[in-house]
Formats: sequence, C-alpha cells, structure tokens
Amino acid sequence: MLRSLATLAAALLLAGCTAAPAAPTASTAPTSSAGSSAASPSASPSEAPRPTPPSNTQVVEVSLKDGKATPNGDRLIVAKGTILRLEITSDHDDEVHVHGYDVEIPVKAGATVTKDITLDQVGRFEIESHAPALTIVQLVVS
Amino acid sequence: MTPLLVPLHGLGSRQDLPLPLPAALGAAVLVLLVSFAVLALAWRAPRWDGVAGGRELPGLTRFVDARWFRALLGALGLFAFTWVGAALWFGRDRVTNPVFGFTYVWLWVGIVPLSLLFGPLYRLANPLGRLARLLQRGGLPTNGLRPLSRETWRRVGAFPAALGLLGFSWLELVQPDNNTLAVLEGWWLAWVGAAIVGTVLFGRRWVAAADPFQAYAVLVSRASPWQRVDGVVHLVNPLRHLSTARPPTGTWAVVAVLLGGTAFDGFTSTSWWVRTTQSSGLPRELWGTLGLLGMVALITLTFALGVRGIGRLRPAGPLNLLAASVIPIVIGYAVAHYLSLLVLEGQRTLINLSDPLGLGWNAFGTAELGISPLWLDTPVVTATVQLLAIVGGHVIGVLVAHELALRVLPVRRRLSGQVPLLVVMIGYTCGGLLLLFSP
Repeated sequence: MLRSLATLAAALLLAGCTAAPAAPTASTAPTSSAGSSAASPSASPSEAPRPTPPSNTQVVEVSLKDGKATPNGDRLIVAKGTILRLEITSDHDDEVHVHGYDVEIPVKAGATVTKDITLDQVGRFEIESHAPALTIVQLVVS
Repeated sequence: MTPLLVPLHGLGSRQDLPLPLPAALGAAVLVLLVSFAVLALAWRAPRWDGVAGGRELPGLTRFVDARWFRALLGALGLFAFTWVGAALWFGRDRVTNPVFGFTYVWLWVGIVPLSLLFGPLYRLANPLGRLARLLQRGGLPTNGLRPLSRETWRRVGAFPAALGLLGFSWLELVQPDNNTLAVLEGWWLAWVGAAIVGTVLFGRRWVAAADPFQAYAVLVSRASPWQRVDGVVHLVNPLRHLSTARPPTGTWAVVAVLLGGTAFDGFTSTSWWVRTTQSSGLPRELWGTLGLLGMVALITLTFALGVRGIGRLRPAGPLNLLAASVIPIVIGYAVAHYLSLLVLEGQRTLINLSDPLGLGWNAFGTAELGISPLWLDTPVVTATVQLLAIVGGHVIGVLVAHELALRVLPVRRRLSGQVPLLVVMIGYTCGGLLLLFSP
C-alpha cells in the first residue's frame, strides 16, 4: 500500500512538474520583436524606425494606452551583453522603470521615447510603468 | 512630500534566475527517495521522544544571561530602531532612505539567518519588550489592566503573532506605495500602538505573544543548535531541537502565514499572475489580498489534510505538534526566495544607513561602499543554493515529521499514518520549485 502510494505520488509529481513549465511558451515572446531566444537575441524583424541598431540589440516596442500596457508582463529572456532597445509610446505622461539597472525613462503623452540599455547584470528584472503601476516585461538576463 | 517622482519599488528589483527544469525534477525525486528510505528503514522508533538534550554549556549560559550582555543587546536594538525611526519621520521620501531596506530586508529577511545561527537574540534586542518594561516601571500592573488567566494565555498562544505576520505580509506584498514614507509611518504606528495597547491591557506577556518579528525569530530559532534545557543553554542537534521544543498553540497558523506569504510572493511574479491581474478590471489590491489569503488558506488546508493521518484535529493536537516540521520548510523557502535580496539590498541598506536623513552624512563610514554581487553573478550557483534550500528544508521537515509522528502514532499505523503528510510535503516541494521557475 505504501509502495503504490509512493509510485502514485511520484507519477503525479512528474506529471505536475513537467506539465506546468510548458505553459509560459505562449507568453515568452514580447509582441514586438522576434523571439526571446537567448541564443539569437539579434533577429529583429520590426521595421526599425531609428538608425539600424547593432546586431546584438533586442528591440521591444512598449505601448501604454488606456491604463493598459503592451507587452503585458511577458517574459523576455536574453543573453548577458545584449543591448535592450525600448521604444515606448504612451497616451499619458508616465515613467518607465527598469529595475536592477535603476534606469528611469520619463515618457510624454503622445511621443515615442527610445532608450538603449546594455544588459550587463544577470538576474531577473521587472520593467514597470508607474502611473498606473504595471509590469510591462519581466526581463531575464542570463 | 517631494514633488519629484518617487520610484515605487526600488527594492527587490533583482530577482533570481529560474532553475533549470531537470535540476528541479531531480531535487523533488531526491526528496522522495530520502524521505522514504528514512521512513521505512533507518528510523523505526522515536529517537528522542520529546526529551530535549545535548551538550550543556554553563559558561555560555552565564554569558548570555549576564546583565551587561542583555543591556548591550537591548541598547543596540533601541539604537537601531531610533536611527531608522529618525529616517522614517525626518528623512527623505526616496528609495535611498534606509528605513525601507531596514524594514523589508534587514529585519524581515535578516531575522531568519540571525535566529537560525544564534537563536532568539532578537527577543533581547526587541525595543517593544523594553517599552513594555518601561510601562511597568511607570506603574502599570505586570498583568495589565485586564489580566488573562493562564488557560486563556495557553489558548491565545501565537495566534496574535500570526495575525501580525499576515499584516506584515500584506504590507510587503499587497499594500500599494509601500516604499513611501507615509505608508510605512502608518504601519510603524500600528505596530508600536498595538504593542502598547496590548501591554496596557494584558501585561508583559503580550509582546511575546503578539509581536510578529519576535514570533518569527523564536520560530526560526527552534531550528538552531542552541536550546535551553532547564534554564541552561545546550548545544543540540537542530533536528532534536525541532522535535522537542514545545510550540505554543497557533504555531500552525504562524507557519501557514509565513509559508503562504513566501509562496504568494513567488506566485505574483509568474507571467500568468501578472497578465491575468493586469488585464482584469479589478483593482490590484483586491487580487493581492485574495491571492495572499488564498495561498495561506491553501497551505493551512493541505497541511491539515496531511496531518489528519496522524491524529484528530484538535487545536492542541497534532496540527500544532507537527507545525514544527514545517519550520525548516519555511526557512528553506525564505532562503531560496530572499537570500539574493538580503545580499544585494542588504548591502545597499548598509550604505544608506550612513545617511538616514539624506543630508550627505557618512556616519558609519559605509556611504562610499559599493555593492558586491558575491556569488550572485553566477546564475548556476544561485540556482543551486535555491535548490538546496528547498530540498534541504523539506528533507529536514520530513525527518522531523517522522520523529514526531512516531511519538503519537500507534505501532501498526506508524508508517501508513504518515503517508498523507509526506504526500503534502512532496507537493510543497514541487510547488516551491515550480514557483522558482515562475512560468
């Protein structure tokens, strides 16, 4: 009885552990740019409105509208050394905060702000707006 | 208030990388194997049967009981809280104000390693205890204006502290603008006010029963190698300490709040949680409150289900006895989730403490220090530490639960009676590892 319970528990455990992390795949890629693969952070098909960024640049288009953020808390996984280019459009005055790097980007209503950040610290960092407080991207640098 | 924009969350900005899946799986399976091996083969009878013991240390006892030592720790605590209190009331409303790091990192996170390594020293440094003694010197009766009977105190146990810990968890995880002075001032007033009112009404036992930080320190210290037996400090096996210390009533609620709070903290950083709560029209605080309460309820419910195999659920019964086996799990979760916060933000707090009022002071000579990432620049080391903390906490939890269960279970159900709790603990392990992945 003990053994069968143990087997059952192990089976449930394996099923539970393998099934759950599969879920985030749908959400990992921010809407703007090509993928969140750490291996090839460079591919960025979005029509670059600015001068062509260096090859290891990851572009993320951020839109703050009607109290909602796009991307909406998605995870972005990039390799250390990548340059993160944030292109932020907002319908109100706000401030975007990249935690850990302690970068604060003031945003004016109706304007687009571009900011490059060299990702030289590993860890997981939240990119947030402040009015209202929303998590835009969970940035994972490894 | 300063007209400048104040960053909402300057703390805890740097979180850990998720663990690789195979490592987490391996860890969970390891817990299974070790627990079953221990259960079935090596540990057939209760080893200590509730009797505390170890190596007697009369010299150390005299040292820690010396008046000067107690006065020194008390003065240290008073000084620290006065210093950050000044920062709270007279400092600037910036993330560089040390009161935030002191409250959320040094106190809340630092109390775990401090109490694990050195025992319940916080009790001696707690300024609220000093305040209570001061009130008595001012003429307040020892047992307050409305003395409670011994039986009532026994029934009250640690429940007020559990409520206080729930309040702090809410402040830390749900309260909007919890990194602004106005909000923190309110909570500090509530914390000190509750201690004064409680002491005036119920006497000097109140702080021990109700102060959340002291209760946390005392709880964690039950896994430390220092235990008092008949008044004398002993060097003991932490497993024996955990399985022989007598937890007050309501300890199960304390561990459920602590474990549920940490689990909820991990849960809120999953993309699923962020997406769902931000897309819904409901306010963030409502989601947070329901999520926190839900997580604490989930831990309570699963733990109660697990313990049912061991005995009927009475307040003073196995629910409380076996809460001791969750203490190492609470510690493991805290280390896995907050160690990097303690290392990084702890250093930042040390720097900020030199200049509490934002006037450019360098009172302790720490203002110019830099923050060293230590091992945290290597994700694989961080991940390994997290893994070991979660798995290690659960292995110790299973061992303690086994020892305690052997004490109360009849011989023929000695193994089968423990299976539900074991399954629950495996679930906690799996859940803990999944939260570190934060899918």
